[in-house]
Amino acid sequence: MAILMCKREIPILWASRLAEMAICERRVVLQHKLGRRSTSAQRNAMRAGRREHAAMHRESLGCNFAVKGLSAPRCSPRWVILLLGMMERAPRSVAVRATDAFKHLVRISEAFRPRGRQ
Amino acid sequence: MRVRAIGTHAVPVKTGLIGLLTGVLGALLLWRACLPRARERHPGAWLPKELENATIAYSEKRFVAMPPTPLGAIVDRVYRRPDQVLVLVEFKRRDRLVVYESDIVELSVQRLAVEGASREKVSEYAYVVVLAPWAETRQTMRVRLYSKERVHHLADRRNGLLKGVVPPRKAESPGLCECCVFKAECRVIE
Repeated sequence: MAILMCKREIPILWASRLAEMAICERRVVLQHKLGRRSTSAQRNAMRAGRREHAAMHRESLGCNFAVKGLSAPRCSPRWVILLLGMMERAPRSVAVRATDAFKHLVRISEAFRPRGRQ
Repeated sequence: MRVRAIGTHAVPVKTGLIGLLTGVLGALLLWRACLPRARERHPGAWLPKELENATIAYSEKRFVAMPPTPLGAIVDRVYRRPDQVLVLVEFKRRDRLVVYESDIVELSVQRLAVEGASREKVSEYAYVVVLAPWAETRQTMRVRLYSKERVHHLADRRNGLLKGVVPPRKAESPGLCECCVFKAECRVIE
């Protein structure tokens, strides 16, 4: 219990927070004092970035193209891609969690795929 | 009577046509949605040679390494090379093909967090993949990550800044100040 409490008390330094140091140190201090702020353009860019990340995560679940020789034909069936694609516009956390839930679905579909389609 | 007959038949024909058109349009949209995008048609085209034989080890996964400094990171993608060394990949959506120092810092922290949490060896090189909205393909750039000492030094400096012990430096690029949301408050500090 003591260990758990100790772990909770230590603040975790996230990679993105430390990366802000390389942009502007004054902004880091002001963000700490006044809270985080963003312009509408920054928010739009972040939203677009989240969508791209969710798409990349979906892609990594849909087809393991990293293995040499495997490409699009080995990808998930289109109905899986369609279902996952519908979640592309959702926020990152929701999309990532939902795509994780589809992981098993993808594996099942891969198991039923005809072996000849390599 | 004839006019009436034409009228009564004209309505179902029109409705049918509209229904047919809507159906065709719907089918076309569904077919288009099912088609993978140009990027997805050749998803591995951007992969660097080093990762051609690698497999995806992690995707969008959170890692937290506790001692000595608790460092946390959400990695975009991690590849496992045949020699079991992990390679970090960070996706960035940018108009220009450029790697900033902040990317290297972020990846360096990710490396320490993954190494600390998974106890696996992580390569001292990583890849930044730029997803340009206008481009069909992704551009990859290899970067050398900072050492453990340098990351911890940066973390200590951040602590000093937040405590008010260390004076904060201004951004090197004046372009950043122009679009900064803290522009007014920053002038007061000066």
